[in-house]
Amino acid sequence: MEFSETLEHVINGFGVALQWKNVMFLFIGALLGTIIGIMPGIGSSAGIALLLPMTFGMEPIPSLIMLAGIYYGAMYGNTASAVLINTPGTASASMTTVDGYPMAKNGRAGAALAASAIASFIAGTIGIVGLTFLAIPFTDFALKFGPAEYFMLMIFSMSAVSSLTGSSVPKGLFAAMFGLMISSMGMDLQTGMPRYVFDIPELQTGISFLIVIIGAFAFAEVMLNVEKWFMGRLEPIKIRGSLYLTMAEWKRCWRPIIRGGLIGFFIGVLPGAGGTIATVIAYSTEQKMSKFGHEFGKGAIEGVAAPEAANNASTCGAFVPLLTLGIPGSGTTAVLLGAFILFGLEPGAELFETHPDLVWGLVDSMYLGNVFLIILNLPLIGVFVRILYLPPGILLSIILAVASVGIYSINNNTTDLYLLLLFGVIGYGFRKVKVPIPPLILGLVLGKLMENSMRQALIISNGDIATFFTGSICITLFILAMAAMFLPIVTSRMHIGRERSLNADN
Amino acid sequence: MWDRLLGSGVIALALGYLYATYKLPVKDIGDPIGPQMFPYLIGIGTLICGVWILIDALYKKPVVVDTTAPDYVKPRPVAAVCIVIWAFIYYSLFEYFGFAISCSIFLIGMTSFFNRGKHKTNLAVSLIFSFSVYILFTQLLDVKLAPGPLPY
Repeated sequence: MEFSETLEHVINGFGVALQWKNVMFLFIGALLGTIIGIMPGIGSSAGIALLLPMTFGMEPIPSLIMLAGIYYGAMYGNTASAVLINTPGTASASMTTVDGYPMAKNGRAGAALAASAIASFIAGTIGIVGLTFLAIPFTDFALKFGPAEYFMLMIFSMSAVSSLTGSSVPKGLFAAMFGLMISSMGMDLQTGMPRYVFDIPELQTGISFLIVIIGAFAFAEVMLNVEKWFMGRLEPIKIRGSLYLTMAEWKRCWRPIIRGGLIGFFIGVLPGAGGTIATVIAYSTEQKMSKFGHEFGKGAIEGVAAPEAANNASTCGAFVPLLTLGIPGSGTTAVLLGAFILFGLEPGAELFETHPDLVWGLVDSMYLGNVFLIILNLPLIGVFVRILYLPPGILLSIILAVASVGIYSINNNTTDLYLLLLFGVIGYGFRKVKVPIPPLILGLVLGKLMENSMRQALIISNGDIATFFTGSICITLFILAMAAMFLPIVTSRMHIGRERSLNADN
Repeated sequence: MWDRLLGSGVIALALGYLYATYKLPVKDIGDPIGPQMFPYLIGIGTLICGVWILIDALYKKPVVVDTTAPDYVKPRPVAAVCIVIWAFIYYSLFEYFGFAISCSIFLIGMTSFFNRGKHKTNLAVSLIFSFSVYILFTQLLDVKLAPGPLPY
């Protein structure tokens, strides 16, 4: 029943995805995603946020297809800067630098980029197939959720993202709290009372999440890159070697690609874990399994293929909770959730009922997007990497100008621009003291939804807090939230203890 | 040292937020939970985070950066501060001069500094970018941007 239902939706979805307008915006998204991924440090969250204002006058389906294309397109493009300048385009390309950069230094940059593109294509396809077939079971599960379950799910998602991104649990949690604080500003939707507006009329409607994201990601990233420019850290290596894999390289790669794709997809489905953790697990799995384990860190092709596969498949995995439960598991999916909300749509089981054309059109567009991306990133990568050779001053200046115009166009007032500046400085400060940004975005986007769920649940239960700890779903989510928050601390303490005892033995 | 400052700052922020929540005007009509409960939870959560960061910082062994190491590069936060000041000037001029002109001035300043000696390229990039974005937004995407002295 479920299989035939899925198949029917998939066929209808292709009817939407293959409309010329959607194909055109998909191509634009894939192209922009590749370019954004190549630019060091900008990342898919900031990229989507930067381009979101341009979609205000557009229809939701082509806009969301384009924005999703930017997300997974950036995962293709981010390899170039990781391989050629030892700086990952996004955090999830960090593991690619470990072997990709040594390969480039050994004159095999072409092979590294080819392995990455092929791995991304195969694993991306694995991920989309997984997304296609998990969507219906997940929406059926989502129907069991009431306001209390949704509140606990958001608590779990935020605690997972806070504790798994960054080096310190309290700093991650603080970032999420800060995001929630910002989201609480403006008019209270249920009583109409203004909160924390400090008599500033522009704050009556709250602070747009776009201002915070573009400030904390794009503006702060420009500040950091300008600093790096002064420190002389942005010197790209020229591409050398063929952009195709030899038979011997392919034989070494295909198994790690499949394994990386599967690991990436399933980790991507979990909130908080995301691409970075998927790449670390895929990399360490291959290091243990490979016959060439001794080459890892010195330019092993499996060390590029496996994390790149995991990275791309995880983006598809991340769409599963976003589309079916309406819960983002990472900073970028939080931005995408914000985009859905801006278009007046709320992802979740209901969206599959009310807008099946949008959901399945979006899912099916990813199959086509992957084909566009392999073309853009294999034969044409030589053209795109020229972005890395552009004078950084021009590139960074243009990013700032695009950020400013996008923010001004939201409300046509300069207060938003000063807020952009403020959040740019806050984002820069956060990076310096190692406070992760993704939990902030998650808190910001989920804040209003969380408060509404909490208030609805309490009204239904006549103010009884026990409603959040009643029922198997709520209890399981609570246990998972606690585990996500405290397990990293316990494992880190155990690791330190083990190291100390080893040192004492020596 | 930075973590201790961060922890103290987070505690101060949480206390300020809790005080602002306490001062929020509350109406008896509307929903019975009210607009204060969720912010109180956020404030308490932030306070716990601040104390946790501070305790971590007090008990953690400080990381010593080896400034004599060959790959050590001195951070240059002044460069980042300069960007903030220049952007502030740009935003101050935004409505007075309009987007196209103020953006051109901003970009000419930025590119002249970072791409020194290539005046023609810098000028061309700045003007083409600013005016083409202005036309794209106002004429094609129907998004309003400050015109300044320009007729449309």
